[in-house]
Parts: sequence; C-alpha cells; structure tokens
Amino acid sequence: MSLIEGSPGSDQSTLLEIFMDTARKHPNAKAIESDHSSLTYRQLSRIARRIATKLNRRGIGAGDRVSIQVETGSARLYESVLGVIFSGAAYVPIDHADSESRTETIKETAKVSAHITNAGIEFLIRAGKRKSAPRPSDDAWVIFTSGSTGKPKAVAVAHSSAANLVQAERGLFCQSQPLGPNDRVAASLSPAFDASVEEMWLAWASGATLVLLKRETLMSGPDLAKELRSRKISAFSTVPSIARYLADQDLAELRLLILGGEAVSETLVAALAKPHLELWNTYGPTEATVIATATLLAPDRPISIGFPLQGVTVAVVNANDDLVPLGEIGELVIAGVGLGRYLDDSLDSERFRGIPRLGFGRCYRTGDQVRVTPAGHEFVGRIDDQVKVAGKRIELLEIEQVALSTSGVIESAAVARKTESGDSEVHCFVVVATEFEAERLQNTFRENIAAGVEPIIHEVNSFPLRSSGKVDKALLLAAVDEQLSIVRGNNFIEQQFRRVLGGAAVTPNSNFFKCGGTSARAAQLVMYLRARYESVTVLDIYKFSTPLELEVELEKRTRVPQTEAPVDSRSSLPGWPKSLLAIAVHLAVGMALGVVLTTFRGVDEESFFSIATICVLVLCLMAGAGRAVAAGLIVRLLTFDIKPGTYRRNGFIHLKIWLAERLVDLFNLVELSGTPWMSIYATLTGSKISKSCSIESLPPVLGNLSLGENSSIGRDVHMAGWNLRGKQLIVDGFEIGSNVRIGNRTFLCEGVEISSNCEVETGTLVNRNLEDGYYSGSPIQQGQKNYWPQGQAVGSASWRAAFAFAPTLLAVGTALQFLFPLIIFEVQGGSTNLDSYGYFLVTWSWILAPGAQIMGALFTAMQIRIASAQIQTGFSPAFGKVGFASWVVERSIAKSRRQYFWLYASIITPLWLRLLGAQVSRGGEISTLNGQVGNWIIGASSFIADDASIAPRELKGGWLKIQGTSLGRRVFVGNSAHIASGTDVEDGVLIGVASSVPRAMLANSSFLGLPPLEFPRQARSGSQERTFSPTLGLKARRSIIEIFRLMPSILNLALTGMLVALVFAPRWTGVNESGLFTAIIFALSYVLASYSAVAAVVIAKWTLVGRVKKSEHELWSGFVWRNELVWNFVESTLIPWVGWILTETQIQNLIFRMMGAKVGRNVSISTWYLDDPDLISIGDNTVIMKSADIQTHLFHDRIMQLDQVTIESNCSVGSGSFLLPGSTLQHGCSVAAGSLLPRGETTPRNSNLLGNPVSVVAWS
Amino acid sequence: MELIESKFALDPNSDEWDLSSLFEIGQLSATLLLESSQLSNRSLLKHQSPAFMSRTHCEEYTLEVRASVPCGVDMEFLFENGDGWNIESATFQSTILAPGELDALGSSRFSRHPDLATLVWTSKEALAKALGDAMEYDPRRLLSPAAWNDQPPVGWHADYLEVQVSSDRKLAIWVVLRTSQP
Repeated sequence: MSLIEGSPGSDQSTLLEIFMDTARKHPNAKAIESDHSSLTYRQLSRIARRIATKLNRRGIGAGDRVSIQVETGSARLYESVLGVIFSGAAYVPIDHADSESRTETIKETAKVSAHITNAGIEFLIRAGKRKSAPRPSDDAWVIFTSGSTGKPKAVAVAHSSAANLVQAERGLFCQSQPLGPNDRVAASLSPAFDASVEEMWLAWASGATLVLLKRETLMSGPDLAKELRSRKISAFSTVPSIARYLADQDLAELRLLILGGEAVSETLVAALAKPHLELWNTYGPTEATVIATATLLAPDRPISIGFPLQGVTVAVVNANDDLVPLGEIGELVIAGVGLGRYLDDSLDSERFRGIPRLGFGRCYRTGDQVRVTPAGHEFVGRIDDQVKVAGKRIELLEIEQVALSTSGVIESAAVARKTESGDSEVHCFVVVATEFEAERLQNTFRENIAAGVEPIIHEVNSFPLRSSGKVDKALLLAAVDEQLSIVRGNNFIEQQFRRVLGGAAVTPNSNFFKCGGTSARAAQLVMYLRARYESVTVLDIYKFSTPLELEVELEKRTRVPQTEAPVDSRSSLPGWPKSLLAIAVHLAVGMALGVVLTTFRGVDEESFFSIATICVLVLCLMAGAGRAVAAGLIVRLLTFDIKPGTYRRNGFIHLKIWLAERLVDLFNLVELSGTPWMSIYATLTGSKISKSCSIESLPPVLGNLSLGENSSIGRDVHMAGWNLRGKQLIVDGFEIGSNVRIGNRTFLCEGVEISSNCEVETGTLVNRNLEDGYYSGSPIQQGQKNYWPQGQAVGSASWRAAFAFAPTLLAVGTALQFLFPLIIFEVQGGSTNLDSYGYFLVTWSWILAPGAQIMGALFTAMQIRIASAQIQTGFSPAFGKVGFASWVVERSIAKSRRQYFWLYASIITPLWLRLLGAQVSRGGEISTLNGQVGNWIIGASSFIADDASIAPRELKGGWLKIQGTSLGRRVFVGNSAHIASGTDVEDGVLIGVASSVPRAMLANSSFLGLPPLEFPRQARSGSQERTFSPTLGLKARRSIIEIFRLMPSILNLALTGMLVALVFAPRWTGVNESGLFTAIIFALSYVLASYSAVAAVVIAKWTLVGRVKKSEHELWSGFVWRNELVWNFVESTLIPWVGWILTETQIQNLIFRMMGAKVGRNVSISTWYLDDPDLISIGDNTVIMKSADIQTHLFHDRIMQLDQVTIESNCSVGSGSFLLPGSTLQHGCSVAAGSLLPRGETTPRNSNLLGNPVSVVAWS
Repeated sequence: MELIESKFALDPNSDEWDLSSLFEIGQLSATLLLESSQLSNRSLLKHQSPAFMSRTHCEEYTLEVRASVPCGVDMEFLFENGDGWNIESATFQSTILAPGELDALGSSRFSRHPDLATLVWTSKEALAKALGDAMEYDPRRLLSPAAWNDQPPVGWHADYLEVQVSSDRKLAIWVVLRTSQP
C-alpha cells in the first residue's frame, strides 16, 4: 500500500544544542564568511549570545517570537537568527523587500515581542529579565506562506522538528565523507523562504562555513558558476531553474548539490551529473519542516521526489483518505516528527486533521498529487490552485481576494501559467467599473503579496463561464496564450514592446520575434528603450528577446558595483606621495651612479685599458644573472606580504607595487624574456615556475604566478596580477597549468585559472577561467585547436645554456655605442682626464652620436641576419638552434625599436628591413613591428603602422612554430595588429587597429576586431603624389627633415657628456676626495639632466608642430614628418630619461599638460602612448592602465586623420586597450583590458565596456 | 557598377514575380524571386544554383536571392514605421548610424527620400547578411550602402528597388552582392 515510513526520528533535541555541539568541536572553524569578513564558531556564539542577552534582559525568551527583517546576504541576518534561537524565542523572518503593510501584518499575526532590523532591535513588549534555553517542544521559527483568505498563513516549527530535519540530513548527504570544517555551504536565500533553514544548518551542524552570496549573484546566470568557483563552494542548495546555470560547468569543489522547490528535468540531471558530485532532489512543504522526502539523482535513474526522511511518514490517499494502491495517483499526506502547525488554530485543526485509521493523529495534506514508484514518489501535479512562483508558494484565491479588495474591481480570476522558460507566472483577470485604476490595483498587490510574485493584470469585459457556471479558467489561459487584451501596468520595457509591436499582447516572457517583431522593429524598440537604457543596442534584442531577459541584462548594466563606483576625490588617497617617491628614487639612482663613477675616478690617470675595464664591469652588470637576482630579491622584499585582496588606490600597498614595477623597469628585465633568468627572477619574487617553461614577458612583481611544466608565455603578455578599478586596487594571481600556450599580447585578468593544454591565441582577453581548449578574441571565445606535434620536443642542453648567455650577447650592441666615442677619443689623442672626455662628448656629440647609433644598428642588423640564416620554417624544438636564433631575431628587433627608433616610421625603414632580411617591395611605409623578419614578404605600397606583429614565432609544449608570411600590394596593417605566421594577406586588405585577419580573405576587404569581422569601407582618395607616388622632391624634403631624427641621440649624448664632465671635474676632486660630495652633486645633476631632456622634448613639440588640431594631412606632407619627429623625441629622449620612473605620477600628468593635453585632478596614467596630446582630454580621477593607447590619428589610405579623444571623469581604461580618434568615453565608464573603442564612438555614461570592438556588458 | 534605384508595380494577378532583371544582376548569376505567400522556409528558387542564398520576409511577402557570389537581401514596408523613425531624430542617429554616416547620407542620391530611415536600415541589414552572420553586426558600425553613393567599397555592389505591392503599400528592397568570389 501507499504508506511509507521513514526510519525512526528524534524529537529530543534543539537547534541550540546542535549548534553548541558544533561550536565546542570546532571553535576556530569559520562559521560565516561574507565578502569582507568572517566569523569563527566561537565568535558567532559570542555575538549570538550578546543578542540573546539583550532579548532576555527585556523579558523575551522561550515561547516568544522575534521578527527579523535584515538584508539577505549580510552576516547580521544570520547572527540575528542565531541570537533569537539562543534567547529561547522563535524567529519570524520577513523578506527585506516586503512592503511595510505586509511586514506589519506578519508582525501582528505572529504577535512578535521584538523586531530586528539593520538599525537594531525594536522592543515591542516590556517585561522583566528572564533567561531560558529553548526546549524541544518550543518553536524554533514561524514562517509565513500564502493564505487563501488573502492573509498569509503562519507556520510554526518546533525545535524537535527542526532538529530532526538537521539530523536526518546529516545522515543522508555525503555519507562516505560527511560535511565538515573544510566544507563551504552557500547561503543565498531569503530567510522568509524555508529552504534557507537548510542552508544554515547544513553548515552549522557540521562545522562547515556558511558562505554568504548576494541575491543578485544567484540571479546572475552564467556568472553564478564563476562565483561558486571563486568562493570555493562545496555544498549548494537551490531550485532547478537556477541550477540550470551550473549545467556543464567545471565545479571541481562542489560535492553536494541539493535541488528542491520545482520539478527537475532529466535533461538538467544529465547536464549537472559529475562523478564527484552528489546530486539530490528534495521535496517538502513549509508545514512539514522544509523537507519531507529526498532522493539521489542520477542520469540513468527515473526522476522522483524520493522517500521519507527519518521521523517522517508519508501516505498517498484518495479523496476519502483511503490509501490508493501502489502506483496509483493520490494526494500526498505527511505525518511524523517533522510536522509544523498553523498559528491559526481553526486552520490548523482543519489542515492538520488526522487520519486515525492510518495511525496519524495529525497529518498534513499537501495538495500535491503523487504516485509511488520503485524509484520513489513521482510528483504528478497540484490538486488545488496553490502554485509556486519565484520559489514562494501562493494561492490563486489569495490573488483574487486581494484584487477584489481594490476599488473598481468587480470580479477577478487568477490563473497560473507555465512560461517558456519553465517558470510559473500568475495572471489576474479583472472585470472593472469605470472608476478602476490599474495603478491602484498594482499598488494593492505590491502591498499585500510577497515581493516578486505580483500577478500580471488583464482587464476583460466579462469572464467565460463553464456549464457549471464557474469561470472557465482554461479559456482565460488560452486568452493569455493568444495575448488578448493585456494591460500590464507600467513596466517600461513591456510598454516599449507593445508600442513597437502595435499593441500586441506582451508578457514578461513574450519573445519579441515571436510576437511579430522584425529587425526594423527591433531597431525601433532600441530607439525607444534608449530613453531609459542608454547602452541598449539592436544586438541586445536578438540576445535578450523577452522583456524579462532584457530588463535583467539592462539593469545589471546600469548598476555600477561598489568596486567600480566612481572615485570620489574626497574619499580617495592623493597621488602626490608617489611623485615624491619618484623624485627620491630618481635621486637615489643618481647617487648610486655617482658613487660608481667616483669610485673609478682614480683611474683617469691610467691607460685607456683601465677605462675599458670599467666597461667590462658594466657589461657584467648588464648580463642576465646580475639583473635577475638583484631585481628578484629587491622586488620580493617589497611585495612578499601582499596577499590577494582589495586595497586602496594610492595606498601603501599600491605604492609598494608601483615601486617594484619601477625597479623592474630600471633593471630593464624585459631583456631577459625567454631566458632562464626570467624564470629565476619570477621564482625569486615568489612565483611558482615549473621546469621547461618559457616566459617571454614580465611576470607579476607580486610573485603570484603559478606556471605548470612546458608552458610558454609569449611576448608582451599583460599579467600584472593587480588592477585599478575605481578607487580600489585589486590583487590576485594566476594559475596556469602545464603544456599551456599563452600567445603574444594576451591579457590575463587577475585571478584567472587556465587549465593544462590550453592554447590562448595572440591578443586574447582572458577574463574567466579556461578549461582545456583553444581560445581567442576579445571577448574570449572557443575555437578549434591548432595543430602541434604530439609528444614533448627534445631540446638541447647546450642551447638551453646559450639562452643564459644571450642577454650578454645582446648587450654587446649597447656597449658598442659607448665604446665608439671612447675609441674616437683615444684615436684623436685625447687627454687622459675623464672630465675632458665628458667635454669631448659634449663638443662632438653631433657626430659621435650618429656614429655610435649607426655602429650599434649595423651590429644589430648583423646579429639578426646571422640568426635569421639559421631559421627553418616548420616545427622545431624551442630549446634548439632554430629556437635560439628566432629568439635572437625578435629580441634584437625589440631592442632596436628602443635604441634606434630613428630607423622606424621613416623613409629608410624599408631599407632597414631589407638589411634585416625581409623582402620589401617599393613604396612601403613602415613603422615599428616585430616577428621573424627573415620570413616576411611585404608587397609594394603597403602600410604597416606602429607595433604590428607579423608572423612571430609561436611556442607550445616545447615546440616552436615558424612560418613565412606575405603581404600583398597596398595592404594596410593598423597599430598593434596581428598577422599570424603562415598567413598570406591579399592585395588591398586593411587590418584595423589591434585587429587580426582570417586565414582566408578576399582582396580589398577590411577587417576590424578580435576575432576579425569584415567591415566594407570606402577608400579615401588623396593626391597620388602625396600618398602613393611621391616625387623625388618630396622624398628629398622628407629625407632632410628625417635627418633630424638623430637629434634626440645627439641630445642624449651631450647630456651624458655633461654629467661625465661634472663628476670628473678637478674642482670637485679638490673639494672632497671621498667622492661622496661629488656623488651628491652627480645625483642632483642627473635628475636635472633628466628634466632638461623633458624640457627639450616639450620645446621640440611646440617648435615643430605647435598646437595640433583636428585635421587631415596626406602622408607626404611636412606636418606628418614633423609630427613623427616630435614622437621621435618622446621615444628616444623623454622615455629613456624619465619614462621608467615617472609613470603613473602627477609629474607625468604635468608633462602631458605641458605638451598640450588636458589632464584632470588625481588622474593616474601608466602609459606614455598619448599620441598628439593636444587632442587628448582626460577628466578627474580617471585611471589609464599600462600600454593603453590613446590614439588620436589614423593613417588609412595614407591620409593622417587627426581627431580628439575625450575621456571624461572617473573612467578606467584597461591595459593595452585602444581608444580611437573621435571617440568619447563618458563619465564613469570602464574599458576592460585588450579592448578597443572604435573611431567616432561615444559610450553611454557609467557603462562597463569589453571587447574589440567594445560592447556594453553587465557590471560584474 | 552603379547603384540603381527602381520603382516597380507588381501585377496584382500574380503571386510570384521574378525581379532579377530589374536589378541588372544577371551577369552575376543572381536570381531574385518575390512571392506573396505565407511565410515558409521552403526554397522559392528550386532550380537555381545553390552557391549563395539570402532570404527576407515582410508580413506575407518572401523574397529570396541566389547568386554565384555572397549576397544579402532585405525588405521593409516604406512609411510604416513608428514615431521617431527618421534620419533627423537624434535617437535614430545614435542607435543606427555609424559615425560620419549622416554627412555621407546628406550627399547621397537618397538624401531627399521621404523615408530615408527605412532605406538606411534595410540596406544595412542586406549588407550584414551578405557579410555572413547578420547577428554579428552592430548597425552603428556598418556604413549603409545607401550612403555609398557612386563609390562602393572595392568588391561590393548594392541595388535598391521600390515595389508597389498594393494600392497603398510599398516595399523597400535592397540587394547587396560581393563582386569578387572568395
């Protein structure tokens, strides 16, 4: 028969005893953890006891009730719950979002003695002091459910029932390894929802941590899995409609997932099932203490609600209370220890009426229809009209009665409807009189019905009736489906749907396109929605096609989280301490240089060879070992105690990180990229670097990188391990598995984890954890893996050793620049006094500097040519001859870009590239670039803008891939664009800024973004003579102007000569033989020389181009050449002298202002790439991160088009992101790393932007 | 190839019209058929080469183009869109137009068209379809073929046709083609 009894239960315990038992066993285990704090069991007990004492002192104890209305997700809520339990009273939870009138109704019905809110305890009775622990028979809580009279029903549950539930669950879940202090249980539900009890006591009965999640996190859909991962949740109880967001997600930590409250589908079980995850389905009404039956779910098992818990008996009966035969449908009746009771006695005796012939003195008729199957009870449906909406049970009769209580409503009928998404929604049909106001009815519902379950209102002339005379609700439902006569209040988005769809019926779940929406109507809808949601686009209507989905998304975009909140200059720390520190460090470095130089002052009477000895010593310092170890140790000392977390911008931690990064710049560690020294440096800073890794970018100074075996990190990868958001500094590390390839210029956001064997393509923005696969793009997306040879490549020990000496090899070119003037000085029979050498440098700098530069460049070219000759295309071991040679090529090109910048973006650049081994046809216009130059074929009249990456080497799992690349005629490659090796770019193709190009393309096509999207564009036509076919006269004029590109190196040498002359001047020797005084003078002079260099650059700018305005200039015009000359001064003089130390300081802002930029107060800029400063405006409190590029001009069609870029106040521009000419970032916007704001675009205020090109995304 | 603008009234006694000759695209092996029928996914042009196809629906009308090159087609009824749907509206400009597009439209042959907004939108949709996945494209980043004037991007061709389908209803139709084969 259909009567099943659970194992014997216990009714002799209380929740307080269970908690105290746990607190005794695990006093120091974490009991609660919120975003910002945590409490141990001992601390939580103390707080709860304090609250209990306050209650007891006012005479509140066992038998009393205390209502709690505190925000869900706050620790205070749980402290209050426990405090009331400690006091002996029962707690009465009220949803924080409930209306005032509903709150009052609950307080009144429950006769509460006190009311706890965020503001404190409001005492509603006065009585003498008492202290009483609860007994098993005392109530633990009173929870309100929907009532048929229009008033909510109060269900009281005794401690014995509650304790039985807790003990039953302990015996049920995770039997092989019970929950314990290492487990973390998510708490996300409103306390007014009885399932919240399960969350609390799963943790508190086992010593686990209750981890508080915000309600919006729960509703955040795809981000929920991320949150569970980051909070390391191991047990989670939720409804299936939320659990579906966890389908197919990697939740390695989660070992217990409890579903309940809604029907579970087989599809969901299949998608959730994991070998390590215990998946349960639970069932129970509030009246039977949360859960009455439960069962394990598995893909191969039928779905059921299972069998009764311990202490619970269930029966399936017919209308006469007789048991139905097994397998037949009947009403589920619950009896046993778990039964609660209604505070309303008459209701209690009616609904808990016993069935003596079954042995039930009391039992609860659930109204649910079930049948018994071998797998457990199968849920069939509801008998009455009680439905669950948004996790809350509500009776349709209650809705109808509330409607009838509103003036103007004559008749009402409520129906529940399953939506396409599987949720339930309630529709209330009303027949109304003339005085009816829809808004008043909405208000009545809002005040009387639990938050989130207000019905959709429909006005009708009359109700369809059945033959019995009753309202035909089936026809009403059909009317909903046919979307007739719907008037649903004033939901803005639904109103706009209706406006566009010509008055069609619209519900929150109406799909725009199924209701007759076309693409043009979608565009219209967007226009109307923009009145409230500035960021909405047509694509949003395709992605979020129902009013509800759209509203959720758009609301998330408009709610700026605290971490992103605009910086208030009054509450943020000032930036000037960083500037003072910069000056101090600058002076200290000057002192150090002065001390070194004065130490060798005595050698000026010796031979040239002694001077050469100094040079050899300097060379040793320039070698890898010295720099890696020295920098590693100093950086570790500065950052060893910085833990992941959130700190204040410009605070002490920020200063330490800033200083560490400046020292890394000072030691020029980027030159160690790809050598074992980089791994050693990273290890010394605290990072965990496994063997056979290749790191070609700067690892985080915070030492928070973990890199698995055989993994490779490409060139110019951004992995700072920290980020500035609004007024906060966020610190978090990276976990990268083994055999991972991180492509060049990838952006790793702090806190990401990348599984083994992943391949991340060039330029990708990694802002989430990655599982094994191939990823590319911004925003990131998954694709097909590239081919790589199987197995581990076998490198050679000798070539590995060669990498160790490589930095020294590269330093030779630099040393030559110093040696050249020395040799000339000796050859022309100069004095043996070093001060005279200084004067010699100053006097002859105009010839020595160009000579030294040319010698160094020729040596670099020779290195590259020799290395290129060793390179074969295809796959080869990374630590072999080809690997070493290709490394030398790319590092030497990178070095030449810094040391011989005059060779780039010049009329001689094609010649230079031919010298390096590239095949460059006539008419090429080329700026800076990198890659395997020996494998390039560049077609005639192509244009390559700054920092392009063309066919670079790629590494994975110890393998190296090199392939040739060709560019057709008139190809345009935008700034920082990537062209993968093996790509043949067709004639006339345009690749946009920071964009890529597909492997297959048509001639003359244009691509923008990552992954690249084709955008047809109209070519501009300028004068042929001044764009593609310059005359000899123009070439001659340009050549003359470009000769002055050597001026910065002349200036640098002259300043250096002045410093040498100063430190070795005989008058200082006479004043202070110890040299200390001289060193001080040197330090001051060094800083003065640095700022003189800055002044020279500022003067050069104003002299050469004056104030730059929005304009257009053809490539072969004087303005363009002079403007390049200015940038040459910035790259070759300003950045080498002060760039390393003034980054992110107020002094840097001052320099930009002097060059014409508008820079507001408290602005933080971590880049020097502000082209054409006159056209840049940056508002107060804005943050611009490292390598961000504020691009004020483009060279499409060989016409320089200059336009303003405006960044308003309180914005954040992420690392390596681009803002193109004519763009405006409005107040409070945040642009993610590796993103691009296209030309001419203006962003909505306070929007979160991500992607290349950017889209507005929800704030996370 | 120049952008053409044609006006054409359909024979009310027929429910299928071959419009390809109006677009002068025979040399590109393109065929265009407009059918007055219930929306359906069945192919209208059963006997055509299956190389590239694009289809658009507007109420009871279906239009399909097949061509030997990538193609896109879109149609909308003229003068039937709601308030604010005009090129002068600031909201329309910020929602639909690319930076600088308003100026380009001002000097285009369509600048005086009384429902330029619908022309702009329809042409962008047709272009996005010809580019591949129309869902990938934000209209604010695509320059409308209506603004191309006589200077279409190299390798592209666009045609515009107005069809009077009843005494008071007119369809705006854009066909966009690539003139080079991938």
